[in-house]
Amino acid sequence: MSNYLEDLAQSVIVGQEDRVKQLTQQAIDSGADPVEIINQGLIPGMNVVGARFKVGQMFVPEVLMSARAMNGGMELVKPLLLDEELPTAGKVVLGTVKGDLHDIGKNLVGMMLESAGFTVVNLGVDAGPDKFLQAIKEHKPGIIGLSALLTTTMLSMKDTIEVLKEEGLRDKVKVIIGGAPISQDFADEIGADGFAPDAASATDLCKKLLA
Amino acid sequence: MMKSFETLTKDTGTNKIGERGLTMPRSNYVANSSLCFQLFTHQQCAEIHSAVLEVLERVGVNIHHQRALAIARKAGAYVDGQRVRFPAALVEKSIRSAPSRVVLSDRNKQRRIFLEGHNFYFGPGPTAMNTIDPFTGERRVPVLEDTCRASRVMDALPNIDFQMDFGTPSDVDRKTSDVYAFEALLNNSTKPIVHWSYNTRNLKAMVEMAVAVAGSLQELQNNPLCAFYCEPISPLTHEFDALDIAMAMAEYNLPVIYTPAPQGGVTAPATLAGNIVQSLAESLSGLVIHQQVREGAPFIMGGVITIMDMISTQITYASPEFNLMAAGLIRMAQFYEIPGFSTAGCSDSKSVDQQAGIDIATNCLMAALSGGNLIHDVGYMESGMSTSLQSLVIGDEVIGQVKRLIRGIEVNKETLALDAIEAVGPGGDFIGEEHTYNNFKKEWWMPTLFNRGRHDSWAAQGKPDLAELASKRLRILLEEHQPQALNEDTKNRIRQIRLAL
Ligand code: B1M
Repeated sequence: MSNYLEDLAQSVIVGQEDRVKQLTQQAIDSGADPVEIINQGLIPGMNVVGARFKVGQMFVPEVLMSARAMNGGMELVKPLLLDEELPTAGKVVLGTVKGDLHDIGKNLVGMMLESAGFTVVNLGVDAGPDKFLQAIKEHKPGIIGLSALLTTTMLSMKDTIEVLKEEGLRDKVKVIIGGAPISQDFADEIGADGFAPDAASATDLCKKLLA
Repeated sequence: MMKSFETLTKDTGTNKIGERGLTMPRSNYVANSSLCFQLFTHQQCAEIHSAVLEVLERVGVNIHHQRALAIARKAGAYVDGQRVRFPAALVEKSIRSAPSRVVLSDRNKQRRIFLEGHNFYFGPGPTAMNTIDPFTGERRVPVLEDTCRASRVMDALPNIDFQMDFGTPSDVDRKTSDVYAFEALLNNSTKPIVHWSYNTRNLKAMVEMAVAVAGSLQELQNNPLCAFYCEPISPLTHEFDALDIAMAMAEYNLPVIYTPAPQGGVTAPATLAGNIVQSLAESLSGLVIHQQVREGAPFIMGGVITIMDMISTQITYASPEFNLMAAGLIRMAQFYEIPGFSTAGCSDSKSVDQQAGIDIATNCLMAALSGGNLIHDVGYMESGMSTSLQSLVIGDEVIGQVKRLIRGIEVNKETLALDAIEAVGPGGDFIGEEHTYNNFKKEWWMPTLFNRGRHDSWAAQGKPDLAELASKRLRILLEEHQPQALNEDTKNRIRQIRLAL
């Protein structure tokens, strides 16, 4: 049995979705514990990916392919789990702020969060305070993430935080911000809960904030 | 006259029949009068072009602009909601109707920049969110005084042919910082301006300023002192403001640069050819709309085509792939006989160090070799996140050297120097010869920055590195160079235009 787990982890690491699905299905059919499949097969594989990425031994497209492989296995296991056993790192609502059309970095943050097991709601670009407000009410995320790439539009991040205060939602949700012109100083200045310079550290930050 | 870009089979301009032979008559003499470099053969260009047409016909683009959608439909494009697909004939018609040359003039209507064939001109980069102060080394958000100072430096540097704003000024009204920057460029240098705009409203104010300088719209059209660039969104999307600006420029009959920024592996294919194909599909679909607004309006085909570093997720402005794709884009612009907008003189390095020097030297030479007409971003650092005046000064030096390289080696009676070799004979020396006196300055490039001196004198100067030498030169330029002032009357008028906005 332990052999299949190693094989599963290895298949996640090399990003072979078909193989992961096949191994997961075989394990399910032979009566393996679904929690074991996840915690000792899929997730350890992804953990290796995360570690290798950090030291520059794996690259973003490889990480995403591994995540896709892992999720392929997850989808098969999920129906067998009780609700409380469902692995989720948390929910994050992401958007590029009002007047800003730069979404590449924000989308990458989203993909890396999903790779790390977060559920991500992507509001797209040009998202003003209202859009975030509505999404918080609808999706009840643990974190909202605002991205801005322009020095003109970064100022509107503060507006969103102010609106959250007015609506009495500020302590219900953590706010993180990022994008090329953003700094830790700016995050402190507008009262955000965190800043991340890139997608990988955004994932670490979300883990930390929801821990 | 319509162009026949499909039949462009010859190398343009690099080979020519030698005019001056030795003494004897010769037939079929072909000479390289400058360095030769060609990334794609004619067949490869045709293959890429065919792929572009296929993308435009099969996949199409999304257009977020109602009037442009109506224009596309009327022109015979296949419009399905916001998705627009183009028949090949419509694309090729637009390529033919775009002029094969665009000339930019300085503030005094002197025609300076001839964007055609393999001509190349270098200039700085725009809009960066930081600038590295050349004297303190501090990386900070630019203010309007930085724009003014940069403009004066551009005015002074001999190998910088046009101006860009070198960073978005932060101490002015943020919604019109483009307009403030334009005014600063008009006030501080006479050189042609390549600029941008947040939207058509700001664009109109800036065109009005340029008209105030030129005297009338017609005079501005005749001798345009500025071009404006705007950017579609990769992959294959034309957002409202960028297209609206391009259409407004067509209406004005003033040059627009339409320049996508696809990132290989992220917003474009990872393969270099595929990335170029997508970039061309983006700019040519913009061209179709542009030419429908006004047939024959001046259009410059751009593209900052790059890849993303897959560890840091930072885009690159200096990788070999970046340099190759820039050359590929320019080769295609030449194939289409549409002036091209290219990128060089920039670095991924965070400081003006060895990496920056290597980046700048490599990409300036590559860009010049490919003959990519309007080459911008000299002085860009850290992947376009900041600008550096030190780096601009070094870029100016590198461009001087590159221009010499491109000139190649002239072969004729005078340069073969047979008489001089005879006159000196075995064992003599050339230093006092008239042939040397007559030719060394003509043939050699003289550095103004690079240090070729001896160790002793370098040590006596405090062992300065290149960045320090650049700062020193910068100090002298800033102290001594007096740009021609704009007359008070015009200066006031353009200020009024900005105030009225
Ligand atoms: C929530 O928590 C988090 C946490 C981390 C977060 C986060 C959120 N969001 C991001 N991060 C972080 O993680 C990401 C991944 O590791 C990182 O994301 P990044 O986005 O930084 O990194 C991406 C993976 C790669 N980087 C990028 O995608 C941005 C690259 C550059 C070249 C860039 C691009 C591509 C574009 N642009 Co624009 N653009 C530039 C950029 C210059 C640069 N070198 O950054 C910049 C940002 N642009 C600029 C400008 C001026 C403009 N752009 C414009 C348009 C565009 C394009 C549409 C052409 C295109 C965007 C396409 C798209 N789909 O996003 C215009 C504005 C449009 C608008 N309203 O938004 C326009 C105004 C240009 C014009 N004249 O029209 C400059 C801003 C200057 C300033 N002072 O603000 C600019 C710095 C270019 C420059 N060199 O000067 C981190 O920042």
